[in-house]
Amino acid sequence: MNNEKLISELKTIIKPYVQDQKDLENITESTDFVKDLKINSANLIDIILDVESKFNIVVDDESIEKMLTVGAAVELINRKVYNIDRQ
Amino acid sequence: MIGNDIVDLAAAGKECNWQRHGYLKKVFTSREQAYISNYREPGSMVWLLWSMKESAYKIFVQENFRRLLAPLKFQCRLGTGSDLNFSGEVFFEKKSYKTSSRISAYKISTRAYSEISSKFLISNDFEFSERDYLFRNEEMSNNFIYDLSRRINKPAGEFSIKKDTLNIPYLFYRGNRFNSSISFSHHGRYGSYAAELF
Repeated sequence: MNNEKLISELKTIIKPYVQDQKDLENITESTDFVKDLKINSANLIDIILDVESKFNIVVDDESIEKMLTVGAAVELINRKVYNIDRQ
Repeated sequence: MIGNDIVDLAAAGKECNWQRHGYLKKVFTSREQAYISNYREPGSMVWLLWSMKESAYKIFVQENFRRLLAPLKFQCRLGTGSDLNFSGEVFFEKKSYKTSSRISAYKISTRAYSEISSKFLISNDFEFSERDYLFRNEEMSNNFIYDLSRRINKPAGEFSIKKDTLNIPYLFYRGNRFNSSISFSHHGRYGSYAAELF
């Protein structure tokens, strides 16, 4: 799955936790869940659980620490699901 | 330094289902999960512990200039408590932060301190009059500055707040940094500010 497709999959996951849907229109890898999308931290955990069940992966604590941007989520899914490591 | 967090219990109930499978394990240590299951209202304990972690995290960001999502690493211990007030401590790696929290039927509000001191402290919880998120930042700053100016007897118009890229607020007086630690929190209907003046 390419990153664009992944971002659109993530968009579906993130949608219920975003207060202003307009914020979702232009999301990119650098979009910050908290600063740009105003997602509260309790819902970041929901997003992680949703990502885990959607992609059938386990997000370890070390990866959770970095899950602040769309790009970090994309990187994580690529690594866990598709074994793609971007250096 | 100081950090704070406020939880609107009605909003939290609507926004987040902490009872979903796997949720508590991602956020709370086994000691914390025991606090939750032993409390007469487990939901209130979830948000009390969450607000302790979040308040301590707000200090962490001011001290380290970086953000992270690591709720399990901010580990809470509850001290003495009544139905309305809880004191506690949050441990993060080698550091610890003292906390004090207030619980009501509508909200939970916590302040964390990196050290106990006799520095000048100012804090308050309030209900927003603005509904629009964009104006709420301004209402927060204005409420805080107005309160501060009365307490230290300086004109409110000389103060301003600027936030950096990590969203840390800084206080300015006549254009110069005012030596202080500030923390803002908003959730649902409520806002809260806490500041320590050095």
